[in-house]
Amino acid sequence: MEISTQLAYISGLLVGKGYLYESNSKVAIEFSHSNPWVNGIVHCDSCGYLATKNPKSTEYICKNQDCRKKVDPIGRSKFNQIQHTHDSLRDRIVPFLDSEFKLATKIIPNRSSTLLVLDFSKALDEFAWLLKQAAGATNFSNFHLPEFFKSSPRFLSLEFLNGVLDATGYPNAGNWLNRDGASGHGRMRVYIQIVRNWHLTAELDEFIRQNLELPVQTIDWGHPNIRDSKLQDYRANRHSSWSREHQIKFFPEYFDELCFKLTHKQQLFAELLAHNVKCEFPQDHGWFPPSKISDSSRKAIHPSETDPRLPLPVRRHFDAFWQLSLALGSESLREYGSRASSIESFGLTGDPNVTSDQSAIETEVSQLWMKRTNSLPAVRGKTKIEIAKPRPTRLLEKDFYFPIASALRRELDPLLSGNAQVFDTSAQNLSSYLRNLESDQVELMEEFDNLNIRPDLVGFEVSMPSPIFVEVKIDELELSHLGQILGYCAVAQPRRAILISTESMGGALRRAILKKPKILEYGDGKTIQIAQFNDGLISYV
Amino acid sequence: MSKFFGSEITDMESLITNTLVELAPDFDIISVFKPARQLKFIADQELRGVRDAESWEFKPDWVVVLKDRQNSEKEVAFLNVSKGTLGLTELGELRVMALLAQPRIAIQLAPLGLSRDLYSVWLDAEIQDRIANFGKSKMQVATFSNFQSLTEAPLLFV
Repeated sequence: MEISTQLAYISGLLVGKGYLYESNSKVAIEFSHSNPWVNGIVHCDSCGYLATKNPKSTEYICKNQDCRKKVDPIGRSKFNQIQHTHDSLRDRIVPFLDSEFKLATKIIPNRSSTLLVLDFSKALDEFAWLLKQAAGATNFSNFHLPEFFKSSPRFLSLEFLNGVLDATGYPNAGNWLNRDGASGHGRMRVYIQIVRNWHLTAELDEFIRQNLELPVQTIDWGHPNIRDSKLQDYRANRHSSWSREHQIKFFPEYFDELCFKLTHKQQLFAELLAHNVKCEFPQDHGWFPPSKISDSSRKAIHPSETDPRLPLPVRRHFDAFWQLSLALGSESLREYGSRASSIESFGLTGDPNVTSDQSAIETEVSQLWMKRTNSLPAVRGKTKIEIAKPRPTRLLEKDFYFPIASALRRELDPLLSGNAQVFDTSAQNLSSYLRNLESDQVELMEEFDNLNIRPDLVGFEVSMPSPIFVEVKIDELELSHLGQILGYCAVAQPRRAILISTESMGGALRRAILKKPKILEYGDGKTIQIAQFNDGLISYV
Repeated sequence: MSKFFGSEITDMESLITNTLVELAPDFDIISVFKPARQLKFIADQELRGVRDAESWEFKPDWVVVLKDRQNSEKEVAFLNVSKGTLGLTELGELRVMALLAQPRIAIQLAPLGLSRDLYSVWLDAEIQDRIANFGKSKMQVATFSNFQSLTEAPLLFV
């Protein structure tokens, strides 16, 4: 089958922010617009330099040190992302796809994103090709760079990247780099935002640099050493702040072959590109090859380096962003480091000519890590005296989470040998209880968290990836309570599900179950168990 | 009157009636109401003619009584309206009502759309069937084709 530009573009959309539904031959693409409005660059009306907001006020000040004038931002471009996304899909993207395929399309708007659903029922060959390229993956969290684009003609590779950019590329006036050009300041960047997909980030970076021969400025990885290298967030109890998306950043002036089909993104891209050209920045060749890692750029040891949400190749310490790409299999880095005494030695130093052996380097850099960790400023103690709020006289629902969790643990593991664990999902953040789980259980819990599936308690038994869900109530159990846990169960299919209350079952629920026991079913013969918690014991109804 | 995003659904009754005319062409719509109490306590004459209605101890947001033009048998349609973006727990609540009453049509209207990740779940035919299939029919999820102007936008079934 000959691959069209339309199919290459859809493939890019899919990899960027798409879902593939094999059972009904559908593809859905999510176009995010968390903020309804997006703004262009503010330029000084006197000297034309970039003007930025003063962090201490709402004023915009010219960045030209010889000018420093206050600037009114009223003249900057401003786009309603929701409207532009909808209109671009209707007037540009769908007609573009229609010119090649017989697809049934649906545009579904939302406050924070717009969904494009493509039905391939009448284009099954093309759908089969997409499935083949997906190689078993089903959505943007787990897609790899499709095999086809590792050696595709340039025009198709560019169209694939256009798709990625429309789905998850952001020309953003706020993402400038503090650099001076011959006639301007602030180098604008565009970034590709990749959510939860480590290998795709490394592969896309490699694809842009090696296949398209375009420079990537940097990769901002969602890794604790990169995002929170001074442990400021960690020490402020924001333990998961590093666990966000990854960003591949580039300067727009080298990407003028590309074209967004979303009008607001294309106009912003053109604006950023024009700004950089006007400022006359020096030539940039991108981050590759990497520089040697100096002693001063070694990073402190971060307690989250071993977080179970990090995939194994990157569940360790890093000092530079490119080391993650190497750990994730970058071929260009492996080739660049192939002259070193070992690839591990190169990875630790960034020196392709390093001759020392790995263990000697490890000893040296681990001392530098310790030194950097010990030099972090001490955490100041709390001086504020907190006055406890008066407790309500009636016990709250959350007061029963711990005793019910303990009772369930005793039921699952009478000898308390550690074969079962029950977590209170409200009391602990995800990372703290994931630490105690096996890798397949971690993956499952992350998936549930992404779907906002949060029953009050979750239990696990050793070697059983499927969990036990527990929904706790302190009132008479009613039909609406059953509905809440039923929604979670229909999707997550836990091994067991328990709806438990400190009170007895309400009459309406009792009568409904007697009349139609099927209302407790959630698939494969599994049913929700109704239980009462009394005197520290769980009794099933 | 329901208010979303500054737009207003001024006439839910008309919206529901127009939707049901499309979805149930073989039925007459004989009553549309917003129950204030559990359905077993509702005195609506038309609802009383629906089999088993006197045992329904729950309250959907809107109820429509339909009459089959061929055999004059009465059936119901339920419509729940989400206050925020639609999540799984609300779908579960409608599922319980649908399993008990076996309505001809059950719609979850989400004026603010579905929560971001629920889209991916709902579009998966297998998972959708697990949530939506209640025996007689399947629950449907609807939003608006242009949520910035609800009064003009037709319903869009996801």
